[in-house]
Amino acid sequence: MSLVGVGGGAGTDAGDLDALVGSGAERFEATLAGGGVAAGAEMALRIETARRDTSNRYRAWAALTEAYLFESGGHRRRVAGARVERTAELALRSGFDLGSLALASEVSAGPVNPISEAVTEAVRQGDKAGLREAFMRGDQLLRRIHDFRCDLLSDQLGAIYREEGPEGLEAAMLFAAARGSWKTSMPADLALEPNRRLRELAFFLTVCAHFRIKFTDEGERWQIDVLECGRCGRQCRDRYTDPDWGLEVVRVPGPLTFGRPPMTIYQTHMAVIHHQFAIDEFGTPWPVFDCRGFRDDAGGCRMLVYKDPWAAPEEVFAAVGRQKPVRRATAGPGG
Amino acid sequence: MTQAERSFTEAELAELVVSGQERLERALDGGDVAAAHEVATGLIAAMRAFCTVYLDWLVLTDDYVLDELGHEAHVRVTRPERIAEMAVRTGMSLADLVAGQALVAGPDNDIERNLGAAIAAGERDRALEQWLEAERILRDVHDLRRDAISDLLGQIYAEYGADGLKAAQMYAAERGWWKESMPHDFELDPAVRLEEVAFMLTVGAFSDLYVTEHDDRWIVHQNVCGNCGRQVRDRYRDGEWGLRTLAEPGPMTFGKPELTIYQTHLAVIHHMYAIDLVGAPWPSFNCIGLENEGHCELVVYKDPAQTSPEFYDMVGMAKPGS
Repeated sequence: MSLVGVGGGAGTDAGDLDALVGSGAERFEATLAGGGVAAGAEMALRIETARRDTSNRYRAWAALTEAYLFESGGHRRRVAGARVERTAELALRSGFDLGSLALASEVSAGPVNPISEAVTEAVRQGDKAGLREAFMRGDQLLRRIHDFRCDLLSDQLGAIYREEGPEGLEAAMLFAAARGSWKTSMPADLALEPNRRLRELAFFLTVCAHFRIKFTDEGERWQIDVLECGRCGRQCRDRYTDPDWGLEVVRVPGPLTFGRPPMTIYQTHMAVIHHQFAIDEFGTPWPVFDCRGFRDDAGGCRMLVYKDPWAAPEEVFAAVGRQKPVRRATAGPGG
Repeated sequence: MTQAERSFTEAELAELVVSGQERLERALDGGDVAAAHEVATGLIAAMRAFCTVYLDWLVLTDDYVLDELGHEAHVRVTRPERIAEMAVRTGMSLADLVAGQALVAGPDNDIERNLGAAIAAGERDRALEQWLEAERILRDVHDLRRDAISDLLGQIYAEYGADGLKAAQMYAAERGWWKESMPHDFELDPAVRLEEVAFMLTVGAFSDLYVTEHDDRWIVHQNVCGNCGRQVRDRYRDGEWGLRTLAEPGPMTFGKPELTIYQTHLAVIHHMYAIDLVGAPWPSFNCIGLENEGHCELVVYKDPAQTSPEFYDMVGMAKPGS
């Protein structure tokens, strides 16, 4: 995840924690009520942009996973893993129809698309209802794109896991992490002033990743209770409870599962990328996940944001087979 | 040419282009269970093989982007919603997509098991019903993969122009099926070569053909071309599909004003690449471009060395020694 800039306008004070957890729709409605159509439209477009960027990072991750297959096994390996019909199957299971698929390609491609044009037109007309309709259309579509790409990635990584086991799954994720957005976003996030880091994370989770969360300030850290996880949790509840989806589960305990099997393929990325990779590259996990693993509801896990990112306890490192680095005198990324 | 000099009688030529369904119906009516099972298995294998070649080509084209154009370009051409959109436009349902994956993966699937059971039980109608289901789904898979190749090549063309389009096709040709199959085909007895092409087109590519024999060649007339022709008829008449054309007359369009992206592979792979690899186009195409609704021709020379120079000229190449 890349947090820098997504929260926008954040000061040094985290402020009212409850104010940080509004969903995209709640933020839009609050802005529309307080600032009128022009302000509402600005928020709508900001949300659309953030969500598009998030979904396109999933796409980049999928492309990096294809690059992993190409580098590790060449063309033959990629053909064996190619999934034209499976891709379409997952889209239809996600609830896409022809119209929403065509619109999804346009919205994913950039800011000039029918939804943003409808937003602009609503501003021109001063049309509050039209703006709300355009926002809601985008809200539903971008969530569907997000979920579809999350599923595709999970399916792609699941195929690698079936073929290569935990080592292959870990290698594919570390390959992507070393070349993807995490490489630059994590140190940037860790360098942020703590309150801003929290605000950016809150915007990312609630708006871009469709979480419902609750914050508690515990002094040295903030605890984020996940009421509805927008990623693994909804995937567990909405996909894994139906075996027709055919998504893979890791049942062998180990560093990929924080020692807590079973875990969905997608959940293992938290151990591998947000913990192992972040520890190896930057000295600490980011964020710290307390993942409940595979389950049939969408909530119940936690995230922890340490105000000093290097204050995460030893057990967090040990859960993914790492040791906490000895802290250098000067704190900072990698310190 | 007298009848005695011909390789095939008119009736034998007609037999070469019998559709998959008719082949199976004849086998079922023959009453030999083992033979009917062999025919059914062979027909489905041929359809599956064409789909497999298409998948290989699609991935080779994606390899080209990854390998030659880099990660950022590869991300741009990764468009999962577009793939799904084309599947829906093709008419594939969720059940079709699930069944298609099993059918195209190999013979261990419900439809082929049901087909085999019906043949064994002598249940003609049920066997035919299962066959038609397999054919329908594999034709959709064939079409979806063809369209996915066309769309990806179209994206490459949109971003990198005709040179990029040609480079992507040459990259695939040098690493794909053609590299092995073209020299192999030229080593075959000419009549066998024609038989294989006819079978592949009628069964594997769902074409409706007839063949005429001449002194030095056979002409395969496509009433309904199963690849480009059906794509033009069923996709290019509807602006919603958004598949691209190459409207730059030159060697990649056989000098014609405009070809579909898919049709350009006839010029690039079956002519240019084949000339470089085996010395002659294979097969030689008389492509009629966007007006193609099933009336193009492809020419199978009995001796490829006798291929007319015009088939070289149309892609800007000279026949060696001419």
